[in-house]
Amino acid sequence: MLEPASITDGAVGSADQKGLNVNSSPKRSFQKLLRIILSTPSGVVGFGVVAAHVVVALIAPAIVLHDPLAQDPNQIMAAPSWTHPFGTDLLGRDVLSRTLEGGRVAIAVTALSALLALIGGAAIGITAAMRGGWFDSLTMRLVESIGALPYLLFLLVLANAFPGSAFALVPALAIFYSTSIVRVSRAAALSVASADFVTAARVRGEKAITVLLREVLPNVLDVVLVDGALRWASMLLGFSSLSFLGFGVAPPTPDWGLMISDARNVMAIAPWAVFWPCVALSTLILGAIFLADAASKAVGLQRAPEGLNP
Amino acid sequence: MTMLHALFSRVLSLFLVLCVCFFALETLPGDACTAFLDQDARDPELLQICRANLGIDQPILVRFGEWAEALMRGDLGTSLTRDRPVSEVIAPELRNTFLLALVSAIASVPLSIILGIIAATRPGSRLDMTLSAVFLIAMTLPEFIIATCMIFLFAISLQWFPAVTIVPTGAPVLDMLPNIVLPVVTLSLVMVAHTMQVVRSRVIGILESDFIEACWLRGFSYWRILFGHALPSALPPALNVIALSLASLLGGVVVIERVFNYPGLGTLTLQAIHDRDMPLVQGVVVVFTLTYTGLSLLADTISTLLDPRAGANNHA
Amino acid sequence: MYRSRSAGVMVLALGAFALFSSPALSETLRISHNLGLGGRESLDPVSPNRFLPAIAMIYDRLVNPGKNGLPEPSLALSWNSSADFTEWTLKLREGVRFHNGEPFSAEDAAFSLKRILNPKLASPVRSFLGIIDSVDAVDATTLRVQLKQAHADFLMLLTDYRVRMVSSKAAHGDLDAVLDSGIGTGPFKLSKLDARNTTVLAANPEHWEGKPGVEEVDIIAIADQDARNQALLAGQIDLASVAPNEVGLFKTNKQFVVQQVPAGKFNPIVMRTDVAPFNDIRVRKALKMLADRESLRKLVIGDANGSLACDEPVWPGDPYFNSSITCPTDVEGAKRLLSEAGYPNGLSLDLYTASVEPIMIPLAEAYQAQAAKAGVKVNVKVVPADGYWTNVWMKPNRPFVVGNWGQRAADQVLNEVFRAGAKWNETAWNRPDFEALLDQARSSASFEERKSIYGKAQAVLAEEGGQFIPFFRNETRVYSSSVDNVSHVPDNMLPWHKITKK
Repeated sequence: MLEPASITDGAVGSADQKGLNVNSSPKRSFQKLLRIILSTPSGVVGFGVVAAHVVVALIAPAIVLHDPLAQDPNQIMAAPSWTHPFGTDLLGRDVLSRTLEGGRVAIAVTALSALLALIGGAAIGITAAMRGGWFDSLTMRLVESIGALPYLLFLLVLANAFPGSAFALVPALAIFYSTSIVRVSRAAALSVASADFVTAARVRGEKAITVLLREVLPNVLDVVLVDGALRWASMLLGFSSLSFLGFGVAPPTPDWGLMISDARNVMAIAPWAVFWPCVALSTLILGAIFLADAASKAVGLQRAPEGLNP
Repeated sequence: MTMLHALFSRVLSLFLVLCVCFFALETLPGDACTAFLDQDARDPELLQICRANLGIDQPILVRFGEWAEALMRGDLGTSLTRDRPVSEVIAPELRNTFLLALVSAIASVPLSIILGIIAATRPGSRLDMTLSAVFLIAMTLPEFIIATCMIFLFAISLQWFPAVTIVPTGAPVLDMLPNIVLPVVTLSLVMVAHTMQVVRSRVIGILESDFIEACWLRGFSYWRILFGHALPSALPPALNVIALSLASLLGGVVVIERVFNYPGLGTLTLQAIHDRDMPLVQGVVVVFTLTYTGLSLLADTISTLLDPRAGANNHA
Repeated sequence: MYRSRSAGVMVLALGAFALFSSPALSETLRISHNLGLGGRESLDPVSPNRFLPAIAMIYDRLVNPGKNGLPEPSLALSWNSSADFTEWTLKLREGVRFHNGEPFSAEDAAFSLKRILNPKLASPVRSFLGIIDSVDAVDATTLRVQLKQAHADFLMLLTDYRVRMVSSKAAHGDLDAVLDSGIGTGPFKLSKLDARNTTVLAANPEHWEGKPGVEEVDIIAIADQDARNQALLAGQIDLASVAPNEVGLFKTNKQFVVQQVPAGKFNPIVMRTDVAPFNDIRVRKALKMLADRESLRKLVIGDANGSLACDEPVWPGDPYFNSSITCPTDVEGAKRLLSEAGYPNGLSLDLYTASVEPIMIPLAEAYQAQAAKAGVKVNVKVVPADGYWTNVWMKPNRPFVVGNWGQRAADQVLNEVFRAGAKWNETAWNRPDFEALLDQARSSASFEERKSIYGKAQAVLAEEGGQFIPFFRNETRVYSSSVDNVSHVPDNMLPWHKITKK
């Protein structure tokens, strides 16, 4: 359902709206964004939830009580108990341990893809805005073309051609999800390109790359980060669909999408095996949406939720 | 001028898409012969004969030429594993998927606009909060689990609708209808979840703008402002989002069709991908892409017609 | 306003459902098939793509499998053999008619058996019926079969689920013709063949066993196991096999009857003996030794739902079962063997599986966990169930897969699966000495002697073969309480015509 294509005009308008704060470095711009995010309740919640998920994913192997792969023939679909607080699944594996570790692959793959999409997309988008001309037209046509492709089908074809590793999907995920980042960053860069401080820097005779890094990037970074957070949320959902279709994470690696699709048929008799991975996946996506929402309010976008769509 | 320009750029993108589609799919390892031949796939001679029979032993550029030329004539080629023209294989499944998408669109587009307006006119109210909460949850859950819940609730507990589709692919539309209820409800729920928020924020944004402020000052009635001014300004951008959702809805059906055993394009694509039946996969991609392009062109046109101001920043 | 609109949508939907859904016919038995052949399902009973269970309803056998797999009369009423078991004479039932009205005669029976032998049809049945030298119709109701070599249990081979009588006239006597017309003598006639969707069979009121219990049988394609269960739960199909661990979904529900039938179905983990690393017997042995079969059975099907096995494909219910084979778990021994074979640090293998049968994925996962203990990294590759048999199974580039076999009599399974050149020789087993054992057993007149030789053959497979068979499983069948007279026998013996529906 979720496709990486996104809406452009919102970002254009917003970049106008937010006024041109003159930031001097990407780092400062990032710190400022974080400060504003953490000043709103939804920002605090979103940041807290996402951070908690990331921390849990990192330290999960050290904190789980059971081996998430260990099968217990005597505890098949056992209800929650002191030994297995979240119950066990169809093969007698501990649902708590599996839920705790179930985000590792998904978060790693999607975060890596989102990061690549963010860096690559912003670089291309800003360059297109600054250079203009044929490069700009070609970039935009390409972005439009990729946006028009049924990306889920492509991912399926790719996963089928290179079975086994979910990380094989990273480049494809990054390319498909970078299209909206290219648009957003290009639009934002266009709106600052004509600003006085950029013109001033150019007049001072600074190199294009310096202008880009010093003057333009800090001023588009926030908008791009908002979009990146939404792309990430949408990628997490898409990734779980891939697992459901049998193309994402290979069993028995614990993965939320796989856990949900394996146990969904027995949810009438072992609801715990479905419920907990759903809660985990859902809260992480919700956290990312909240974070993006708070961030977009901070930069004056006002309408973050639409970014997740489609 | 703008319209012509838009049309031209669409055609250009379409051409680019088709190139990407062809080359990306063709360069992947494995082909229909390695995937389909029995134990005999080890025999290089048999493999060669099979490839020659299917015409996939030609250089890639030659095949691209033939493929593109055939495409111009509206010919999608022949399915490698089904020995029938791709268009013929796709047609019944395409109808079923379009039926699913169409009914979902008919249900969800008005619903998301109406719910969006209702939520926007009472921002922060209990209704607004409830709607937001419900759809936010729907937005964060994978479709296949929403669909499974639908099946357990409406098909198994209440037995109102069939759980899975068991009517033939080519069944009359009327026979299809009861089977599409649960898939449509699932798809619509997800779609409304995504689009309602857009409509809501657009309408709120417009209602707070100077333009509406001016209307208030001029003493227009609430309803006139809402439907006469706020909505026409809020709709065009929302329509873009809706058109994109509709297009992505066509992609989302892969998951939904799998859950509901629905005989549509998604199911067919999964089979084709597994058979490495590239002409069939390419055919499906072409159909999806054309639909996407058509829908976004339609959304642009409607936006332009509804709001002339939108024309200017259409190509930002 | 939005309330009335959404309510309207609901009413419309409900109305549409009430108006257009076909009412649940009490006279129609609805079952499903798993589309494992991806729509290439054929009504030709001897085709590798034979369409189960349609062929069991459309065609009759000469003899049906009875208790212990011994033959019982069906279209053949009685039989006897020459003293050396090389010539068999069968007396056929009179007055039986095909669905097209033509009488069934020894000509048709001879034609049906000759087809199986036709190499052009590439029938998997040929691998064990290849011992037939010639078949003639002596008169309209007498059939004579001459064997190339003696076989004391020849009639048991004819109880196979694919050895069914087709009409020679409908095929114009052409032995090369692939029969998809569905003209048989069975309790149901073909109304509509549509393997990808719904295949409809109508009762044959003139069937020699009397009018079938239901008017119509719908065989509905549902590839996905979860979807099949949901269709059963929602009352869209009446009868299905379910995974033992999903029985809980139905047990507490009064609308369903759960039936456990002891059977010898098995899901081997198949290693192709002609592809590295499985061409090394030490690797095969190690991969079998490392397994803890008891906990595999417990994990995958539960203790009560099957019997343990030691890689012999003959199940304990078979008269020729060799009960003396043992197979203790020996992880250290497995490691040792692997290091002797040149894998001191273990090895990594791709194991392909699909949800064709519900236990096929859990079995792979459970085995994977056990293999890890011996340093073997098994990568479970789950592929679509749809088309699994045609696209994945028996492909040399997929030498390690989960297979699926129905219960078969000893002689049949040993000949059908382990003769060089047999169509379904999934382990690529090629051992002339093994085949000599089978020939020897067949020609032996004494049951005890046959049992001892078949026992030897089983021991060879357990020791060296390419199938890892941890357990045999029972038939776990669930049907709606509106269905009655479902016999307590495995699927390949089920008298479909007796089933009734309220």
